[in-house]
Amino acid sequence: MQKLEIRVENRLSEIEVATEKFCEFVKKYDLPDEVQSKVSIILDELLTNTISYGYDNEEEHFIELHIEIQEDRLFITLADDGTLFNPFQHAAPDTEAAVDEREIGGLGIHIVRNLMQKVGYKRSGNRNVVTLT
Amino acid sequence: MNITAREENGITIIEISGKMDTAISPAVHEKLVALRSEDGSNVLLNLSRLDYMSSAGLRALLALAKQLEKEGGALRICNLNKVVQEVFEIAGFNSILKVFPSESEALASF
Repeated sequence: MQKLEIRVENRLSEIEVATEKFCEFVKKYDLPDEVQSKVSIILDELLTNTISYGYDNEEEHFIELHIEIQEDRLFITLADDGTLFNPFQHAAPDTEAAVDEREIGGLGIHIVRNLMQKVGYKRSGNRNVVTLT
Repeated sequence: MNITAREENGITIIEISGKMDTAISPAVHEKLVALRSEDGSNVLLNLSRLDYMSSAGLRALLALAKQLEKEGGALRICNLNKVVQEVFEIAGFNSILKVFPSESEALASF
């Protein structure tokens, strides 16, 4: 079993730090490029959401990220102490609309949901916990 | 991230390598807009060397497509890798942007 724990401060510039740590993990265990790309997309979408909209104060917060590979399956958990927010409760955006009618809101979460097989959310104490497999 | 541009038969062909995520996409969009040759120009984006794209990258492409359309030009995209292709399909971008498997097919479509 390969495991990676990352603690990310609530600054947008930290997303790249998290992605780079994951790239090192990918190299260390010789994982496919596709896994690196998909997880990088997921981290970009979810961390951007949490850091941009998840906190109602200017204080320093940390997002805990846990990535695990068991028998070729990828398990990702993100936990933050931001305001209560279930990213997967909103309806999928209209991906059939024409170019001039297209609204982009909610697209990031829609991509995350479809890149992974299963997504989950729970509020645990004062924490949002998102799980992806 | 690296962006290069060349002209062929009046079409601006732009290649983007690396990634298009939240941090980089606004700068990519600015550069793409600056690289279009003139109002009403046709642009082909060759993404063969792009590793991945998040929704921020899609947003940049959509903004470029809308701008070119408004100016009387057109955008074509070609050579998506497997992951970028999957993101396009999930987002429904295959139906709103014109995507081609190769540069020659994309150029012939203008």
